[in-house]
Amino acid sequence: MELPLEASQFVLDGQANPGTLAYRLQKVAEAARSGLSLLDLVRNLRDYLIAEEGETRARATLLLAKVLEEVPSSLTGQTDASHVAAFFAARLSDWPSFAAAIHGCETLLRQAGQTSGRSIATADAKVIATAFTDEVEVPGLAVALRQPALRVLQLLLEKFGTSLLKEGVNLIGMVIAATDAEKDPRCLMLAFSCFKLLGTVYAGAGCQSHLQEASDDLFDFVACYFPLTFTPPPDAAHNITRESMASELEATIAALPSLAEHVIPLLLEKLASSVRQSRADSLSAVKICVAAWGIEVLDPQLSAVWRGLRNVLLSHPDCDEDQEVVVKAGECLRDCVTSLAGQDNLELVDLALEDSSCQSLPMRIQEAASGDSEAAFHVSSAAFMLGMGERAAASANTSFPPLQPWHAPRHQMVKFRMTALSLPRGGQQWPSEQLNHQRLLTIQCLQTVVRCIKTSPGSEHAATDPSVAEALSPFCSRMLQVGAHEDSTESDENSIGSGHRPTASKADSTSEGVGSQVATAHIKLMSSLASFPFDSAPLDMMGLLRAARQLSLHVTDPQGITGDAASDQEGVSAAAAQGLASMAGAGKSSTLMLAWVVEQFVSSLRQCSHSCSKNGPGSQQTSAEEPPAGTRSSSQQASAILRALGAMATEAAGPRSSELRQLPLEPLLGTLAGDVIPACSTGARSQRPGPTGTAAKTQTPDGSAMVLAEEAAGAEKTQKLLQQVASDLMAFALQESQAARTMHDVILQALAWAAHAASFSCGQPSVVEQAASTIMQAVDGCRSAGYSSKHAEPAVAVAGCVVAACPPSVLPGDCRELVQQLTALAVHVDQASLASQAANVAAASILAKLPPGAIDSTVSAALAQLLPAQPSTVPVDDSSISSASPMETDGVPSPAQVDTSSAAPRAPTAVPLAIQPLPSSADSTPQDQAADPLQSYTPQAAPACFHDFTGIKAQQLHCLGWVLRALAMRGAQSMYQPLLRQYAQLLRQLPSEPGAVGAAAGMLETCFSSQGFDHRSMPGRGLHLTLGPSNHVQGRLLWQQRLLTVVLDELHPVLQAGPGSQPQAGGALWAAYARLMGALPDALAAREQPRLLPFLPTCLLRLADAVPADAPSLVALLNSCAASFHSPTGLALLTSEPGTLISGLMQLAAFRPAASVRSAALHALALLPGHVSWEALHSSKAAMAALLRNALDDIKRPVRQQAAVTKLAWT
Amino acid sequence: MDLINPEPIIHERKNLKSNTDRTTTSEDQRDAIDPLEIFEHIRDITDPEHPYSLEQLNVVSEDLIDISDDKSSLRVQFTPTVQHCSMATLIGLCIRVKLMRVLPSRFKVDILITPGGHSTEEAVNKQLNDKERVAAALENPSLVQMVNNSLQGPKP
Repeated sequence: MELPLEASQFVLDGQANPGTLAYRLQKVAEAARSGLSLLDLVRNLRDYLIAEEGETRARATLLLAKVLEEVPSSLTGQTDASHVAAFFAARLSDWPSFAAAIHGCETLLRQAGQTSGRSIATADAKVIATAFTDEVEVPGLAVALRQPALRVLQLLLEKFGTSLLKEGVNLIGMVIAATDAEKDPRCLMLAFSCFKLLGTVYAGAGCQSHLQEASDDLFDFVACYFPLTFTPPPDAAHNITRESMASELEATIAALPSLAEHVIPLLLEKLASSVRQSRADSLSAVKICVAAWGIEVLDPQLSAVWRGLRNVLLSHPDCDEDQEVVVKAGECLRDCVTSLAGQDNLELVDLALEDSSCQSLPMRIQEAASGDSEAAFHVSSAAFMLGMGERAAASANTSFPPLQPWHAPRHQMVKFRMTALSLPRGGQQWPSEQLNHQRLLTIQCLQTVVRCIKTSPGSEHAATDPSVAEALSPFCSRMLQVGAHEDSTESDENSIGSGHRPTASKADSTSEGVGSQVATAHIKLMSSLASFPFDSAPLDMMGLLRAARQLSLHVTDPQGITGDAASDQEGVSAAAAQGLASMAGAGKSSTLMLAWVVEQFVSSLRQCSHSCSKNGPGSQQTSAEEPPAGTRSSSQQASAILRALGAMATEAAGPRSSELRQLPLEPLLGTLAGDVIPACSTGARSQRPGPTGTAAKTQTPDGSAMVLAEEAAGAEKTQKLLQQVASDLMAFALQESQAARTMHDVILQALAWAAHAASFSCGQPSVVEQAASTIMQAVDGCRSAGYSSKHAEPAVAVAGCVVAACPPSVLPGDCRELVQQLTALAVHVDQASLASQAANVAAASILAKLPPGAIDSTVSAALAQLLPAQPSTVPVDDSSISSASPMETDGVPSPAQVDTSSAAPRAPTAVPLAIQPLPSSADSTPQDQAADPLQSYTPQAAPACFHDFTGIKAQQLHCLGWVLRALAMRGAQSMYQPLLRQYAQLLRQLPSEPGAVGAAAGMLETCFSSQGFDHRSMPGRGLHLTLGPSNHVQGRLLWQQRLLTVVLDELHPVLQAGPGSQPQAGGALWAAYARLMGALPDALAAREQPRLLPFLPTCLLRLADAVPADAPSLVALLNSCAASFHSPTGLALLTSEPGTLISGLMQLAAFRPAASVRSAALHALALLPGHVSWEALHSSKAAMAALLRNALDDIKRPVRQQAAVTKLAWT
Repeated sequence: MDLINPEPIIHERKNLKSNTDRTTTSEDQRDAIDPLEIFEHIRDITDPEHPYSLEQLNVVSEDLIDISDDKSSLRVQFTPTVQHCSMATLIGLCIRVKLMRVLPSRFKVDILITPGGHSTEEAVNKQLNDKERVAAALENPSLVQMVNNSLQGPKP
C-alpha cells in the first residue's frame, strides 16, 4: 500500500501548525487502518529514519510512534513488535530522536498485553530496559522528557517487573538511578509509583532480600522527601496537592516493609518534631505502615511506636492545631490497635496497659468529656481506651467477633462493643474493685462509641438506617445492664423491659468509690445516648424509654446502684436527674416521650409515698438517734425528682427559646423571681444524718426546679405540659396528704412545683380555678380534721405554697377569708412546725401582694395573731394588736408589750422553739446599741436541748425572714423590730449547719429587706413599692452590720468543719456563704476578709454546679473575689490553692444560665495572671484556652468582650 | 525621622451606644456580633506614628465595618491619613492581629483599605489578606513588638 503524501509532509514540515500536523497524522493513521502496516511505513520512511538531519530522524520516528499509538493494529505480529521495540530502544541513544523513541517505547509498553500476538514480549521489554539503563540518564533530562521516561520505567515494572527480575535486570538500580534528586511534582508522583511497584514486584517474586540489601539506598530516597513540603503554584495545571503527594509518599513507605528498621526511627523522630505538619505526617505514616507491614515486621519496633504515640497523646496541646495532632495521635493509635488486633496481636494495648504514665488517661478523658470543645480529644483518647477495653475483653476469655475497621458499618461496631460489654461473664471471680474498674472502662468505651457515632461523617444518615436502630436497641439494653450492675447471667433484654430493678451485689458494696463512678459514668452515657442525632421515628424509641425508666430508678433509688455514702448518692441522683432531663430534651419532638417521663416521675413520687408510709406515720419522730431510712431516702428522692422536673422542662423548652422571646413574660417572671421562688424554696428540704448521728434536717433553699421551670414556661407546648403536670401533682398531693401524712417534704415540694407551674398559667382559667380550689380544699380539709397536725400539716403546706406561688391575679377573690383561715390554722394547729411556717409564708406573701387598700383591720388582726405564733414562746397581747394596722407604726405593739417572761405556748408543741429570754432592753433602738442583744452577742456553745435541732427550725427561721421582709416592705417597722430581736436570738442558738443555713436563708431576706428600705422601687416584682428614706437608715444599721456579724459567727465554724467532726458543708451552705459575701457592706467586708476569704475558692468550685446558687449571689461572690486580688491579704488567702480557685472560676465562666456570672468569672480570671505566678497558672493554660475559645463566641456580648480581655491577659 | 503625616487631624472620641442598649434581656437570645462591637475592639489601637488612637485619626470607623455573624465573615476597611502612608500595612496588620485575638476563629476577616484611600491600595490589600505573608510578618520579633505596642492602646 502506498504511503500517503501527508507522511512525508509530516516528517519534512515540522514547522507546520499543530492543526495541519494533526491532519497529516490522521491521514497516515487512516492509511494504517486501511492496511498499511508499521513495517511498510518503516520501509517507506527509510530515508527519513536514517537521514543525516537529526530533526528529520526525530520526526520520522515520532510519526512511527504516533501511528503506533493511533493504530495498534498496524503491528501485524509478534516479530513486528520485536523489531519496533528494538528500533525504539536503539533510538534511545540517538539524542535528537530520544523524545520520539521514548514515546514509542511507552506506547509499546502500554499496549503490551492488550493486543494478543501483536505486543512485545519479555525479551523485547528486556531490550528496552537494557537500553533504558545504558543509554538514558533520566535526572539529566528536562521535565518534559523525564515524565515519559519515568512512565516507561513505571510500565516496565508494572507489566514486566517480575519477568525482568527473573531475567536478572537490576530493577532497583534502574529506579534509584532514574529518580535521583527528583523535584518535579509530576515526576515525583511517578517516582513514588515506581518505588511502590518495586516493593510489589520483589515481594511477589519472593526477593525481599534484594530490597533488604538495597535498603540504605531506598531509604535515602524516602527519607529525603519526608515530611513532604510542597506548595503548588497557583497556576499549576497538574492538580497535584501536598496532600496527594504526601499520601503517595506514605503509600510508598508502606510498600517497602524492608525499610522498617530505618523508617520507624525516622517517623518517631519526626513525631517529636516541633513542626506540626511533620508530626501529623508522621502519625499518618505510622498508621499506614502499621496496617501494611503487620506484626512480623513491626515487632521489634512496637515499643518504640508506642512510646512515640504516647508522648503525643499525653502532651498538653496549646492551640487548636496542636489539639488536632493529639486527635490524630489518638486515631493513629486506635487504627494501630485495630490493625494489630486483626492479626491476633494486642501487644500495643499491653504496652499501654503496662505503661505507668497512662494511668492518668481515664482521668483526662473524664476531664475532656466535661467540655464540648474537647470532644474531639475525648474521642481520640477514648479510642485508646477502646483498645484497653478490647484487651480487657480478651483477658476475660470472652470471644469477640473479628474487629471491624473504625468506619465499618455501625451495627457491626456496636455488636463488638456489646460483646466487650459482656465482660466479665458468669464464672469469672474477679475482685470487686477490678470488676468495677472494668465496668468503668467499658462504659467509657461505650461513651466513645456514642460520641463517635454522633460525630462521625454520615451520622445524619444513620437516623434513617433501620439497621443502626436495630443494632442500637440491644446496645441500650446492654448499657443499662452494665451500668446497673445487673448480673450478666440474667442479662437478657426482657429484664429491662419488665422494669427489673437492679440490685447492688455484695461485691459492689465493698468498692464504693469506683461503684459510684460506674454509676455516674453510666448515667452520663445514657445522656449521651439520649442526644443521639436520631430525631424520633426510626430510632428505637422504646429503648430510650427504657433508658428513661432506668434513670428514673436511679433517681428514686440511688442506694440501689452504688451503696455509697450519702454524698455519692446525691451526686448520682443529680446526674440521673440531669440525664433524664437530657432524655426529655432529646425527645423534644415526641410529646409521648415527654409525657412518659413525667409519668415516670409522678409514679416515682407515688412509690416514694407508699414506701414511706410503710414506715408508719410519725416514725420519723420516734427515734431521736436515727431517722428512718425510708423517710430520708424519700426526701432525697423528692428533691432529685423535682430538680429533674425543672431541668426537664428547661431542656424541653430550650429549642423553643425563640418562642419564649416572643412572649411578654418579663413582668410575670420578675414577680416570680422576687416573690414566688423564695416562697417555694421554703419547702425544698432534704434530710441527712447529723454530725453525731442525730436526726438533722437540712434546709435547702433550692429553687432550682422552679427557676428552671420558669425558663421553660413560655413555650406553648411546655406550658400545656406544665399545666397538666400541675393539675396532676395538685390532685396527687391532695390525695397523698390524706394517705401519707409523714410525707411532708415530698408533698410540699410537689405542691410548690405545682403551684409554680400554676402561676405560669394566669391566663388559663381552668388552672387558676383548680389552684384556688386546691387551696380552699386544703383549708377545708384542715378545718374538718379539727386542726390536728396529723391531718392539717400537709394540707396547710399545700395551701401555703400555692398561695405563695400564685401571683396576685391568681389569688382567690376573697383573700381576707383566706388569710383568716390560714392564720386560724396556724394558731390552732397543735404542732408549730410546717403548718405554721406554711401559713406564715402564705400570710406574708399575701401581705406583700395585696394592694394597700385591701389591708384592713381584719387582715391585720389575723396577721397579728399569726406573727407571734411563730416564736411560740413569745405571745402577744392580741387585743392590742387587733386594733392595729401594720401600716401604722404607732398602732403596732411596742416591744415593751412583748412579755417574754410569761412565755407560754399557745398549743402543745412537739418541737418547741426555746427562745431564751431577751434582755429587758429589747426595745432598744439603733441608737441604743449597747443594750441591743446583737451588739453584745458572743458565740457560745449550744445548749444541750438543741442537739436534736432539726430542719424544721431552720424552716421556721426562713419563714420568719419572710414575714419580716413583708413587713419591711410595707414599712411596718414597729412590728418587725421585736421579731428581729427574736430572730437574732434564734440565730445564736443554732449549733450546726441546718441552723446556719436557716440563718443564711434569713440573710437572703435581709438582703431583700435592705433593698426594700432603699429609695429604689422593686422592679420586676410586680409591686413597684417605693419606700421612705427613714427606713433605709434603720435597715442598714440593724440588718447589715449586726445581723451579719451574728450570722458570720454561726457560719464560720460550720464552714471549717470537715468530714469526721461535722457534716461537710453542702451546696446550700455554700450558697448561703455566697449570699453573705454579696451582702457584706464594705466596712464589714474588710474586717471579715481574713475569716471568709479562705473559703472562697472552695465555694466557687462547689457552687459551679450546685443547684441553690443563684446568679446575683454568684456575681457578688465573683466581684468579691476580684476585689480581693487587690489586697495583699486577700491575694495570699485566695491563691494559697490556685488550682481550686482557677477550677471554680473556670466552671463559673461556663455557667450557662446567666451571662453576668460568666462575665464576672472571666473578669476574675483576667486578673489572675497579674497576681499569680505563671508556673501556678501553666497547668490550667490548655483548659483556659478551650474555655476562651467558647467564651469568645458566647451568645452574650458582655461575655465576649470580657473573654477578649481575659484572653489578652492570659496570653 | 521625618513623620509621614506630621500634622494629622485629630477627631473627638465618640460616645458609643452602651452595651445595655444593644444587649437583649433574654439569656437565651444571642447578641449578634455587630459593627459596633468590632469597632470597640479596634478603635483604641494606637497609630504606629502618632500617640493617637485609630479612632481619633479617623482611620477606622464603624461605618466601614461589615460583619455577618451568621456567615462568619467580617470586612474592615480603614483609611490611612495620607495617600502615601507607609504605615498602612502595619496599621492593617495591627487590626488583623487584634481581630485574630478577640474574634472566634470561625470568622473570615478581610482587611482592606478604603477604595481610593492609598496610592498602593491594591498591593497593601493583597499583602494584608495573604495569610502566609501575615504569618511570616508575625514571625518577625521586631514587627510583633511594634504590633503589640500599638495594640496596648494610647498611653494616658
